[in-house]
Amino acid sequence: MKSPQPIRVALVGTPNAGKTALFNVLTRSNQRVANYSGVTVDQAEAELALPSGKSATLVDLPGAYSLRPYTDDESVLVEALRQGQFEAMILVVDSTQPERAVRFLIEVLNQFQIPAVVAFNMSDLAKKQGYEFDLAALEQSLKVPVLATAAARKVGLAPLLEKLDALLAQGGAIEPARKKHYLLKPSSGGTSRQALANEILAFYKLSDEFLKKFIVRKGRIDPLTQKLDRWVLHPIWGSLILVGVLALTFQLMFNLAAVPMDAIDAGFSWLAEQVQSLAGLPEWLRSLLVEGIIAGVGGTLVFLPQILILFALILLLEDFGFMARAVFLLDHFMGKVGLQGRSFLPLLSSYACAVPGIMSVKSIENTRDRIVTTLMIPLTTCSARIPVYTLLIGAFVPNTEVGLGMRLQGLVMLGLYAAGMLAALALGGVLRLFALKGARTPLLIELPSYKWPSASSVAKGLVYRAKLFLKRVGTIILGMTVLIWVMVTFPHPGDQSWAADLGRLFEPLIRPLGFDWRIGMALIPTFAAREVMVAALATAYSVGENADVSNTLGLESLLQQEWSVATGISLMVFFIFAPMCISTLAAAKRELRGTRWFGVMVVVLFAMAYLGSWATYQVLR
Amino acid sequence: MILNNDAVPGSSAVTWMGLGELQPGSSAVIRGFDWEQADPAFLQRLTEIGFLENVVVQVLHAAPWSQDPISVQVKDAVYAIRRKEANWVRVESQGVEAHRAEA
Repeated sequence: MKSPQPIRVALVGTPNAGKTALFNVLTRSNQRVANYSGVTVDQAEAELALPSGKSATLVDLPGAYSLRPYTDDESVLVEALRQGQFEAMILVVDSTQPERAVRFLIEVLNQFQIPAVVAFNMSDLAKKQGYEFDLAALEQSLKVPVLATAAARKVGLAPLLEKLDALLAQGGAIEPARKKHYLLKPSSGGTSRQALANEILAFYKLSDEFLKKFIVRKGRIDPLTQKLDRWVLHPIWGSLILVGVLALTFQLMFNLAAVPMDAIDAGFSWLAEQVQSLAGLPEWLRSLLVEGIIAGVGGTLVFLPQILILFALILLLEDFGFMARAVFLLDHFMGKVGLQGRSFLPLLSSYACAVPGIMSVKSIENTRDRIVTTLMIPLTTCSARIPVYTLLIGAFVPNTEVGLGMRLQGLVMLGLYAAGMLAALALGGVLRLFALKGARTPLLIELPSYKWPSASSVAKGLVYRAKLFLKRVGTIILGMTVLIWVMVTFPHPGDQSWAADLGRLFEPLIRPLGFDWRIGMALIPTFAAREVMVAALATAYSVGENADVSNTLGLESLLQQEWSVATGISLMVFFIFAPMCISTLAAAKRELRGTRWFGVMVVVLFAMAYLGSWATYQVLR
Repeated sequence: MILNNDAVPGSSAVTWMGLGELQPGSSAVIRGFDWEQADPAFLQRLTEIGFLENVVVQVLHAAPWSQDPISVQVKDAVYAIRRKEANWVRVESQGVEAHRAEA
């Protein structure tokens, strides 16, 4: 039986201490799938089974260097500890940086009277680097249990859970001696920064004595990291490696994904045929299944391989330690538009999906940079645009050879990506120049030691992504598909449907862009997800015409007959700019808090879409 | 370890330089902080992660094209920081060996 109030255990530590790795090995894969448009995405929570048979909720909190927040992530941590009602916490220490980590430990233990157990994580790496610790001495001084762990190798996990169990059995009682460790007072609001810095200096001096007791032997920085950095951070090689990694990422995303995508496509075509040939199926149900559900869901599901490949690469590069180096290498380049290197990661993630991109904006410490980055994100070419681009390019761009082994279709795809990126950079630059002025935010980012990514950690991250996507397909996209089908089928299929009425209502507005009422009608449900456009067009043009659009080729030839080239290109341009994705808008609204910048974002992006599309159509027609 | 935060102005200040003036490969000892010029919140964060007086720092790399930002090793960690802000940390290139031995 579950108690109404589950036991909550917090996972607290400095950044890169391996908290998430520990979280992943301690809990099963039932990490709660956060809501896409949702509310609580800052903290990952999962069930933790304890040796005693009890079960608790483990909460993975963001990392922090100190309890005086400098970034939003750190504020989230402090707020969570203050209000989270945790029965216990696991304090995770990066053993390869014992001094900094233990100081943070002391701060947390002093400020929050929550029963705690300390995991001296990455103990295997520290040992390799020559560190030697007297953990018994540390335990003696801190009055909390201290254990050596190596989450990536699954070392020391059972004893850790046993200690945690014992703590919880005590029912929240704290060792009385622990309260004596007031080395650094919690910051009192009125003191000046310099006075505070002096307090920190004094704290460091005191804690130096403390550290000497348990650091038996000091180690060195990982020699492999130093060797690798000679290449990765090299003025010439570093730039080449970065460009190579990015090129390879996109190459893999498109080429590796082609096989599973074709398989999914073929699978849905086959399914459509089977349903078509079923005897005794009422005509309306056949239409709903084939032209509605199979066309819509199949057309979306096809992107799962691409999304997973991009996220796998991002997770691998992040775990390995490359992303921080990318920030270092790109900081100067980002400075050209007044931004900083940290904006790079949210922007890169957005090439898979803007929603996790906007969520990761929180790691940028400066409010102004967060706003600018958030406004830029909807312009990056997220994978939901790929089906729309693929369809339109296939239908309206001839696949002629243009020299150097390149074909026009591929070149146009590349051009659409470049256009999105340039538009994002231009918008960022303009905002920084005229609206969100001021000097650049100081850069401070740790370049962590390189580590082999843990396969299980990456796998868990991917399962999480896949779940989110499938949930979306099974809910929003399925629902929208059925809704569109109803709209285009009743009261009479095609020209006399409700959708046609609605599309005609919008037609005067979109006529200058070269769009007819069918396109207008198909654009409405794309707010659920851009890729629905393909399904919506498929449904809009197939219902009542009995055309076979269960695969992309059928739809392409249909569009070629129905639209002019100018219309096709104009629609592509529209998709570069228009922020048509309710999940993105919800995430952006949440991130931008005040509605002012959110309003600016929506207006500016739609204006760019409308004007860009209008200009394209007027020139080409 | 002495915390000479209110170090004698004049004489020794001349020999101090900004951390951002160091070239990759060179080490120095932190002597003080330029609180007047600095963004205090940022400087406070630097002290929290170990940029403290009498601590040895080493510039490891400079980014391509502009030689900015630089990567700086302090204690067991390496951080990327721009030269402008690094200059708020005042360093002396003398006495590195002595401080290393002490640490």
